[in-house]
Amino acid sequence: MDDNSIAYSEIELSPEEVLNEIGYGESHPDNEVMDVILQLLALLKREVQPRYVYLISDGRIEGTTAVHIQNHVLNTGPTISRLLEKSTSFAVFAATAGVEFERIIQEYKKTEDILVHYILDVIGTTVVEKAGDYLESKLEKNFPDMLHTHRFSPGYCNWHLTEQRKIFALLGNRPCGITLSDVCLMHPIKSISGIIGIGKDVQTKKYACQYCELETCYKRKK
Amino acid sequence: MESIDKLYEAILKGNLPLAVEMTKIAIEEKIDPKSIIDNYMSKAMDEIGSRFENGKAFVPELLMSARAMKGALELLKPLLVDNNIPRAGTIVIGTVKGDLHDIGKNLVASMLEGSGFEVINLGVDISSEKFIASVVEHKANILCLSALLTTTMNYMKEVIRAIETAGVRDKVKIMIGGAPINSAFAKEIGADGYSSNANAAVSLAKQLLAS
Repeated sequence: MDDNSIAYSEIELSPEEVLNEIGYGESHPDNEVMDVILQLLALLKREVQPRYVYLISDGRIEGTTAVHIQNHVLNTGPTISRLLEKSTSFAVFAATAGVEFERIIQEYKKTEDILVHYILDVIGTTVVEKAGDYLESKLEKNFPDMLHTHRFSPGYCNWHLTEQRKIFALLGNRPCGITLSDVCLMHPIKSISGIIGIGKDVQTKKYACQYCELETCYKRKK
Repeated sequence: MESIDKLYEAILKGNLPLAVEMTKIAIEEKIDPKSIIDNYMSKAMDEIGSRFENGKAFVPELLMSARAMKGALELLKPLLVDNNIPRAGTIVIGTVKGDLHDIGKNLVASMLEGSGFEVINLGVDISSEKFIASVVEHKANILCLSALLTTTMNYMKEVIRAIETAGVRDKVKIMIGGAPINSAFAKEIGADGYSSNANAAVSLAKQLLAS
């Protein structure tokens, strides 16, 4: 199992990335918004320590809706199973913006400034997704002759959130220090977990939004 | 009267210190508080909401305007009470039991406060008993339920059933929201409405109270 910290400099966020996540596009934010972003990014640079872990395992797609890995059957549903087709092995993963980021969120909650809370939330989501991208780049480095699918997580495309327990069991139940509540809420809250298919002939398609009913999904292609 | 025009601009631009300063001047000039709210402050919020819907403003600008509006409203509250001018309505809001996500719910709460509603924000991980107790205590017109997880969204149905059992369903409208929620789910569990963002939540709340 590959369990690592990520130097923040490896995934450092730019103000432009944060603005893009908020949706500004070509528009310019108010000066106060920009000041808050710059202040929070400077804080992250000093204090944040994202982490990732992945386990490479053989496995097989079972029927049209499940993936069998070790002694676990992951009921990924038809959409994700189709996107994992032709995988010969799988990376089961978790990544987190880290306990330090969670501490910053809790600290700022005391200020009751909803503008700061909102921007910090956007930044946290971006940090953890970049940690996921970093994890994928490590896979590419470690398996240079293989292709890999995009990463897929319980909670999306009808892969039920409770299936996250199986991911955590495969990763030793407390991957990167992330814990799972009885309703499968991860803590630190800015964390992700899921599966990536690996093989010479896998597809590299993203989430199949045309099949998914979750119209408000933040991963939905614009 | 210059202050009142600047008040509109201050709220539209989300400038809290200026909004507070202009409201103080408007009060000193003895401008009718209801007129201040209806003709200037609410209009500024309507304008920023319209810009948001048209992609010309973004969530941070909405929040800044709501923050400025809230600050100005705080100064007007005592005058509203003195003049028996009713608030827009009372809303109880919270994230349902088991779910600790609060940013979306807090965005909605801020926008509702900025639109003149009295908002009781219960926080996260709220049981049906706590929702009912708060609705009864505050004589709430609307209850807003939030959930971000597919594993917790079904608790909304339990809350609605508990409210029916407690005999207060006909006294309170129920709105729901959160990433996995849609209007079909709202209909299925017997909620009165669903909104996909904080600005739409304000419109829905006003619509529900007018119906």
